[in-house]
Amino acid sequence: MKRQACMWIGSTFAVAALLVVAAFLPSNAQSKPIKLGLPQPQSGPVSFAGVTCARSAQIAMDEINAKGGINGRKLELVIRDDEHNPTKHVAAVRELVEKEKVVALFGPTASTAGLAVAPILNEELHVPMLLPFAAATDIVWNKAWQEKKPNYLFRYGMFDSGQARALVEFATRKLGKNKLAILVENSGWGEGGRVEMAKTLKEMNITALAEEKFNFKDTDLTAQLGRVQRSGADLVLFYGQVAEANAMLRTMAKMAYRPPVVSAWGIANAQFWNNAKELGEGVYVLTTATPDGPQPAARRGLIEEFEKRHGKGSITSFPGALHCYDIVKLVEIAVRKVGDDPTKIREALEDIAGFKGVLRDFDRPVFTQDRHDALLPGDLLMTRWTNGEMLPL
Amino acid sequence: MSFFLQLVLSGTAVGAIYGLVAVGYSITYTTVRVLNFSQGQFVMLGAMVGLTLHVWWGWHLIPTLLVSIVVLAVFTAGVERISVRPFLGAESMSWVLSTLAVGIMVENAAQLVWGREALPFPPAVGGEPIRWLGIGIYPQEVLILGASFLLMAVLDGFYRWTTTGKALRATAYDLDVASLMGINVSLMVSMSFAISSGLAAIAGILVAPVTLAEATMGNILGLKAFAVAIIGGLDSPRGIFISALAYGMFEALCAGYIYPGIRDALGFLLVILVLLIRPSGLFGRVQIEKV
Repeated sequence: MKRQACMWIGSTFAVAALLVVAAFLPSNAQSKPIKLGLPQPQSGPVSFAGVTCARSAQIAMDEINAKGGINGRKLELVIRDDEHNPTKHVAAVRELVEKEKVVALFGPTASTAGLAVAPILNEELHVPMLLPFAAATDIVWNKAWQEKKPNYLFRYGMFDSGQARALVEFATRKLGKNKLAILVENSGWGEGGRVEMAKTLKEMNITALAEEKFNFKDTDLTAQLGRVQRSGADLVLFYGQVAEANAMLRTMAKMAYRPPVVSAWGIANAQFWNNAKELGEGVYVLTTATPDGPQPAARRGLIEEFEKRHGKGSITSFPGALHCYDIVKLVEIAVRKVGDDPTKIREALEDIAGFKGVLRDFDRPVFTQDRHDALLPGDLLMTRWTNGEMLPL
Repeated sequence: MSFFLQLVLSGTAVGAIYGLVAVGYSITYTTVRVLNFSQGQFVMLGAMVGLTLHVWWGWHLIPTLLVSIVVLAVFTAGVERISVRPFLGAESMSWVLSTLAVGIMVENAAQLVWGREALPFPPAVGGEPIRWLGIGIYPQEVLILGASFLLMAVLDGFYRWTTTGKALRATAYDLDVASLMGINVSLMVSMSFAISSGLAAIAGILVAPVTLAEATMGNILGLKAFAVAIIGGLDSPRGIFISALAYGMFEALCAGYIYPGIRDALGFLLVILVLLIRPSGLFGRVQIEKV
């Protein structure tokens, strides 16, 4: 017993001594890597997004590092699996900032996680976060923004206010319909979409003839679609995922009622066609980028490198791959300008005059002090499912 | 009018799915007064095994069905030994937790093996809906309805007229007395679990073309089927069948004429009402316990 106690005390002193020595060693700041944190699902249902984002970000960093890094310092990606869980996301963000000392963060896949982490970043941690996936409006247009305080949240991807507006405008202007029905999943995302679409319709002095909701795992939407049909609507605005979209289309076929469907980006993936097949023909879906059709030259290099590393068809979220690659390049620009201080990086991000990304070219500032959404409603891409491909219109 | 008829028809089709899953609850309850709360997950497992054989390996549907039944039956008979048997007879409700736990484990394992995506499962019969008088139904839904009726009828006859069926029911009465009467109780228990998950395999393979094969497909399915089994009476296959169709119709009509969001609330309210008025279900035998 006594010997054990001695050993404990001895080793404690030894560790303490080492720490003191370490503290006085010259810190080798010049060669320390610059770390970016990626707290996104690497397992579970949404890992298709998180894994693609991490792989794409790694490719962008390898390119930068191959050219000598930023002022001689390498970039390093630190990945944490948040399992698409808001609580785990917040914990991962804290750990990445406090222990790993990352200078910038990738945003979550879940909008609820984004809403939870925004005030923590703005009021406490002060490290910029760039969101490639989570689309809820209020994550970026948050309290700090309202109070004109420094806002650490930036989005480089789909955003719900723009998405709802783009869907409604496409339906009314391009397709010339004004007898519209809203059909959304019973979730925070679906409800958010319903509210935003209704708001946009109101501005146009149009009232949706029907507003219906369905639950996850519903296999038959006769009740909802019957009500839509009876309302006299001639177009359906849809917010949902693959399985429920499939149920909707099957029910439509059963009822021999098939108005045009204009959908949010929940079904902008190959999995949709695998399930719905011909029933999905002609469904309009909004996205930021489609893998089908000709690709601009800037993108082809990334796609080739990605598929060379991980195999053909390994890009499970095409928009995600583009967003995350560009986010690294944006952070690179900021760090080159101001160094590795996160608060200064935040300021520098608001001051990037133009940018050639794989997603698109920006001949306007990517972000401004007042606008932390990189994309504008007009930048969103409407596509049409045509014979298994999401072709741009 | 066609809206009403379409609601009734679609509701019946959905109800038939519940019925197909719900008869699985009946067997273990009838035998050992145990409810297998992982029934929904076993249906999912049936669909996934079926998917592997039929879609991935290209087997014909009939051998797929037979092999899936055997796989599920053997698997469940084994699982029962660990998760249910130790708690039988004792005045404990531990089997509730252990069957729930098995369900969660099966679901997690399925996610590892088959992933989390919704996978398409080709229907056994034609993909185009049959339309008549302005309303429509899928051939697969008709098949599910037929299969649900057939399984109900077979099970009902099995309980009533075969010695094994009677032995199963006797086991429920009193494990010790049944074994004194020369009934191999251990075999009966294993058999009841094997049959119930064999039925789950059939249900999974028939239902997957409608619901899509997905690791989490068993959750809602198991819950709704349980509601239906409670309403119908756990020991009455025909009661379960009738109440399944009625419940499906009730859901569709509530959703169509009142409001879709209220559907599940009213559905489960109905369950509570039935339990208040007839605790052993609409068609279940009223049990009088002598103290």
